[in-house]
Amino acid sequence: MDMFSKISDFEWEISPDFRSDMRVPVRVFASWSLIQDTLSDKSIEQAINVSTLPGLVEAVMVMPDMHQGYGFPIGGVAAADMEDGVVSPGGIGYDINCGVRLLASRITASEIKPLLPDLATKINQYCPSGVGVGSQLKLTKDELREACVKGARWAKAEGYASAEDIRHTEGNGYLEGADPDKLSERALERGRTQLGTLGAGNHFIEVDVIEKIFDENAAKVMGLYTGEIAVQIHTGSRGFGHQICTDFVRKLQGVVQKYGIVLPDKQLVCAPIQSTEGQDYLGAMRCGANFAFLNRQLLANNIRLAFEEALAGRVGNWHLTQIYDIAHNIGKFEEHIIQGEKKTVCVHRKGATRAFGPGSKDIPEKYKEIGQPVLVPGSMGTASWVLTGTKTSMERSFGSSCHGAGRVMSRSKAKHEVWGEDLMKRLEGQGIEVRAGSMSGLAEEAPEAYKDVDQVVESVVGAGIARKVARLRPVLVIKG
Amino acid sequence: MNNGGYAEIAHTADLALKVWGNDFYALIKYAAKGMYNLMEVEYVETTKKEIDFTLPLSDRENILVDFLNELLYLCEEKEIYLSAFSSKISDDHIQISAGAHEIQKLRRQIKAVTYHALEIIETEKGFETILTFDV
Repeated sequence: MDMFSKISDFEWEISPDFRSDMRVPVRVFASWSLIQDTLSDKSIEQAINVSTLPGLVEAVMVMPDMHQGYGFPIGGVAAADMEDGVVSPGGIGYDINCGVRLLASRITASEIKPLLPDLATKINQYCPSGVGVGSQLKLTKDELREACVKGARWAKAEGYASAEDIRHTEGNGYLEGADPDKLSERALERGRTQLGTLGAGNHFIEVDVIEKIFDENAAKVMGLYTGEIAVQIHTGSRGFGHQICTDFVRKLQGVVQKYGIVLPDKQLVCAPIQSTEGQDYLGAMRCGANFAFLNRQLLANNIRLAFEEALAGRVGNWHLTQIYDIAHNIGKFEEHIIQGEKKTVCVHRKGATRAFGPGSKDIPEKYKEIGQPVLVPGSMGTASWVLTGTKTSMERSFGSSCHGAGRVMSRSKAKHEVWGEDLMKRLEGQGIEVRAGSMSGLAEEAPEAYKDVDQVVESVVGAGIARKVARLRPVLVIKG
Repeated sequence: MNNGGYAEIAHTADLALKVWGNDFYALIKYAAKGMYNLMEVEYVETTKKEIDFTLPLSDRENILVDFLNELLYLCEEKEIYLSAFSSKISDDHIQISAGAHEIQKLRRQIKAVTYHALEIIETEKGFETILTFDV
C-alpha cells in the first residue's frame, strides 16, 4: 500500500523510485476500493514492468478496469517518444483493434420486446460467430491486401457502409501507413476468410435499452433517447490480428538484444519506433487495425439486414444509425501536450479507450463540442455506458479512459462456480434473451467474474477523464 | 508411469498452465496435451494421416512457443488435432512428425501462446515451466 501516493480520490501514483528499473511513474485512475480488488493479481506489477521500457513519456497510465494480462496489464496506456521510444506488439495485444461499435435506433423497448426471439435468430443467421467459424465473404489475398489498407472505406466502396458510418468511426475507420508487404503468408491466409465474423470468447453482439440519460445535450447530439434501442458490437481483427502479433512477438525476441534493451518480461519485446523492425511491425499492425474496423463495419451491415428482415412492417422505423466505433487495443501516433509542449508520441492502449475531449481535431465534427463518445460495455447481463472524453483526459491520461468492467475472477473459477444453463435461466429471468455458442463459454463470462462497471465508471468520472452520457441495459445478448 | 504432466493454474483474464516433463521432449508433449485440454477439443480417434512440419532451431522457450503456435494454427485453420509426436533435429531446424486427427468440435479459442514470464527451468526431475495463453 505504501507504494501509492494519493493525487486525488481517483488518481494515485507510484514513483519511479519504487523499483530501480522504473523509468517513469505509474499513474492509476481508480477508487481505492477498486485498487484493493486488483492487488491480488499482477496488474500493478505488470504496469511497473511496462514503466521500464525505453523512451516512455510522462507515466504509464492504468485505468480502473485494470486486470492482469500478459506483459502489459489490461487497462494499460503507455506513450513512447518518437525519437528514442519503442513500439511493443504485446502492448497492443493479439486482438489488434479489438473495439466496440454502437448503433442507435428509434425503436422503443416495448415495440421490440415480443420480436426479440425473431431478431436473435436473424442476427445469428447474418453474423457468423464461434471458434474458428469463417465468413461467407472469402477474399483473395490481393483483395485482402487492398482491404487492410483501406479499412472501413473498403466497405463503403463495396456498398456495405454509408458516409456517416465512416465519419463516425475512430480515425475514419483506418490507420495511415498500413503495409501489407510486412504481413506473413499465414496472416493473409487466416484473414481472407474471417471478415464479417464475430469470433468467440468475450466478443458479443448486444441489443440494449437506453435506460437513463445523464447529459441531455450530449445524448441529443449523439441521437440517444431514453427507452429506445441501441446495438453494441464487440470484436476485433480475428485470426488475422492474432497471427500478426504472434509473428512479430516472435521476430522481436532476437531484436531487443541488438538494441541493448533489457526487459523484465519477454512478452514486452519491442523495437525502436524508428528502426526497420519497429517500422515493419507498425506497417503490419496497422493492417490488423484496419481489418478490425472493416470487420465491425461488415457486422454492422449484416445486423442492419437482420433488423430489416425481423422488424420491417412490425415496427415504425427499423433503421440503425452509427453513433461511434472505437478501438481499445491499438498503437497510434497522436499529438499530446508533454511538459507544456505539443509533441507526437506513439500511444499504446491495451484494454483502454481513446477519450479525446471537446475541440480535439481528430474527432468527428458532430462531436467537436461534446468530446468523442467513449463506449464502455459492462459484463454480460449488466449495464453498459456511453461516456465522453474531456479536457482533463487530454491533460492527464493521453486522452484515454476505461474500456469495460474488467475481470476479477479467473475463467476456471467462474466455470467452477457458475453453470452455463443456470446463468442462461437467470438472464432470461431478467428479461434478457441469450444466444450462446457454448454453455461453458457463457459461464466464463458470468457477471460475477467481472467488476461492477458502475464503480469503474464512477472512477473515471471522479478522476475527470470522462463524463457520463447514458446508461444502457441489455435485452438480447449474442455470444460466439 | 507418466514422464510428465500439466495443471491449469489461475489467471484473472487469460489461461495459464504449469507443465513438467522428464526431458524437454516430454515437456513439449505435455504442453500440447494441456493446451488441447484447455481448448476442449473433441476429435476423431483414428488417425487420418501423418503430417510433418519444421521449427527453427532456437532456445528452449522459442521452440516451445513456436511448437504450440503451430498446433494452434493447425487446430483453428485446418481443424487438425495432433498426437504421437516424434522429432528429428538437424543443424538449423527440428522436424516434427505427428498423427493428424480430424477435429469434431473446438469449444474454446486460444488466440496465442505468450512469452509472459516464460522460463523453462531445469529441475532434479527434468524440466518445468508456466505458460500463459491469450484467450
